[in-house]
Amino acid sequence: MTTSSLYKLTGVSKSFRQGGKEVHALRGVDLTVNSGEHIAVQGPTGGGKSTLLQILGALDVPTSGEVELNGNPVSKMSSSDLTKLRGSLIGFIFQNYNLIPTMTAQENVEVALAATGVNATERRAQAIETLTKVGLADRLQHLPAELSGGQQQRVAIARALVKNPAVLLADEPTGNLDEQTRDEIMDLLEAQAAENKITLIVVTHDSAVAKRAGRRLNIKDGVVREVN
Amino acid sequence: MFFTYLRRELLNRRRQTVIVSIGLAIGIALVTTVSAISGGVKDSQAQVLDSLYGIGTDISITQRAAPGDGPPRFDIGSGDGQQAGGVQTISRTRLRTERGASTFDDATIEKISSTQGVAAVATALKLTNTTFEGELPTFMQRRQGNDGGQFGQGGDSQQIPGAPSQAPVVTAAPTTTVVVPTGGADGKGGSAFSIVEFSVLGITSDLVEVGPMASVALKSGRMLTTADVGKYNAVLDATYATTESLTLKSSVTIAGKKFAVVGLVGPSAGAAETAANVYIPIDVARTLAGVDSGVTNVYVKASGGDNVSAASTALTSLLPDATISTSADLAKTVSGSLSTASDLLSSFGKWLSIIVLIVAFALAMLFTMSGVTRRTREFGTLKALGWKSNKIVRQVMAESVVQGVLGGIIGAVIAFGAVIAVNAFAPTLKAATGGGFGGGGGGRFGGEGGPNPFGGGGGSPFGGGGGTNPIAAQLRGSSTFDVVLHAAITPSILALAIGLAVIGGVLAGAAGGMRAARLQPAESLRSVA
Repeated sequence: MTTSSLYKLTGVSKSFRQGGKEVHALRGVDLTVNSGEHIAVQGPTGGGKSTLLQILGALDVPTSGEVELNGNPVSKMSSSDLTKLRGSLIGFIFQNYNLIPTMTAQENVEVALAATGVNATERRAQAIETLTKVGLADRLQHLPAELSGGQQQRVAIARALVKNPAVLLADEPTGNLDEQTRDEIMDLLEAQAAENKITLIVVTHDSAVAKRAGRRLNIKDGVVREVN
Repeated sequence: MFFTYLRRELLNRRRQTVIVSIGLAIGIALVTTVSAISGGVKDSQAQVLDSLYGIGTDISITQRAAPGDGPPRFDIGSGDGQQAGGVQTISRTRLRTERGASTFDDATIEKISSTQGVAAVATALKLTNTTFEGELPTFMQRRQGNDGGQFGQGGDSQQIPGAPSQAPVVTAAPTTTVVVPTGGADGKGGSAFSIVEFSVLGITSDLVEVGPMASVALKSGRMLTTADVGKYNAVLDATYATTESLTLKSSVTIAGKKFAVVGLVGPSAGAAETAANVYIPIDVARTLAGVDSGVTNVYVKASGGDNVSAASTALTSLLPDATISTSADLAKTVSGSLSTASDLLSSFGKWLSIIVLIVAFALAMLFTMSGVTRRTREFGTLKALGWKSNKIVRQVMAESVVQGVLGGIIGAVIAFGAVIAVNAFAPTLKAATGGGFGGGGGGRFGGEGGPNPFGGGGGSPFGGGGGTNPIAAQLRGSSTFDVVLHAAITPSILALAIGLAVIGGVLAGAAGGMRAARLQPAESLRSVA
């Protein structure tokens, strides 16, 4: 099996002012992530997990250092190009699901494709297919408020998967779920990532979730270390 | 996705939609209602002006009188009238141009007709018929009063030959004898007389589209025609005829001549009276008034609504001594509740509408911005999913514009209800034009009040003052009109409502959209990432 580099971070630092103080969220991070990897990121609160995820998700650019995603120099790209990059290569899964409350499950999934210019018919078909894959074929027209936490996270996973991204960035995807649902969601995520050869990066406080990853990183005081 | 998202947001965030829409609706309903009522008031003013001026008349021209032109004057000699029992009974009638007005000759009319921007010209000779009737002490009685010392004053008592023999002699004091005057209206040397006036308009029958005859409607009989030239035929204002108990079979006396009443006319819309009490052929009017030629009033129709001002300016240059009044000038002279309503709407109503509209717009903007703030995570998520900022701004803008249009429709419905209520109430507005030279009249000196067909205003024909309103003077001394207010929502007002609603929506959307555009995805998601 040949692997290629998806992410390459070289000397990445990120600092910003918060409450009148200079905060160094990342300090000279060097990191390479290969395609198809399943990585868990752990660390104490305020250690830099969120900032690392934002840098990996092209939501933010580093103060210094280089970030490459699939060969694209993220740290040098314009805001518009970053938006395109997010739309095509990156899928996000959030702890609070971040579904649009006024839209149905199907529409929430379609939203991800609306950014990529897929026509309405194709959009609808892909959304239904993906929701079926995550076990929500009978919940297509339900609003988020009408779904359980686990079901909402399944919709969020479908939304992330539907555009067939290169990487899934999951931020505490099971943080609000009970253990049984947590395991179901992680099973689903891992299965879909493996099936579609998607790199999966999960930020979690849950050691049970972290242990499922093939590679574990710990970040503390802005410094990333591999966990053996 | 655009329309799906739009529909979902509007339907599933009903409270936000309802609050923004209702806020805008209240502002727009107020503006629309005020506009509709203003339009109704303007229509009412137009009715009044049409009645005074004549429908289709854009400019009215009169000539100011030469200085020193005094008030009507009746010279009564000692032998005039009938004398009996120490009472001299006098009755005099005079037809003359109104005080303050002079005439235009044919050459001037020709120049007016050929002035640029003038489409049509009508003329009229405005006259006032004044009748002096009364009882005075005879000449001998007046002498007796003067010589005898009146009412307790000192002086020698003297019997005037020819004085009534029953004149009592009163001994007022041991050394003074007072002779009490006799004769006159009260038998004690007093006088009683009345002045009766009515307006007479000498008209031609060739042009009725412009001028005062354009706004009258025939009630009974017939109008004056070319066949009436040189004849003593008259058309009466129906209200005046009723007041004076005149009918088609009656005759009316003008300058001592009996005129056959051939028709009765009323205002074509709104007003209570027409421009004059009596209409007669202009040639007869000139003869009786001693006016060789010319007219006192010229009515001009401009070649287009936009040319009124230019034509007025050109006519002012042509006739520097004349009074040239446009309908806008005339509107300023109208007083009464109609004028009050107009002033109220143009001041208080306008500013109230503007303030309410600004508040409504501000509230819509604040609610939209607040909505964007509440949806920070949603927009951050969309940006994370690859939505460009302009796509999100367009979505926010569309939501606001639809809310604005909804507000406009609701506002228009509220305004329709308000207008229906106003029209059901049908308020009657009074309009009055101020008294002019010699206007009003009809006062009776020394006795009961005489008939007053003009309803007050004005001064006395005996050198009295009265107002100096040249426009009113050229029409009536003073006139009052009752006009029923009818407000209407026209397509233009409806377009204004929807237009304002869309503007409100766009402003709110722009404010919310800018906030959404400025959101940084990382910051928007910071709480969850």
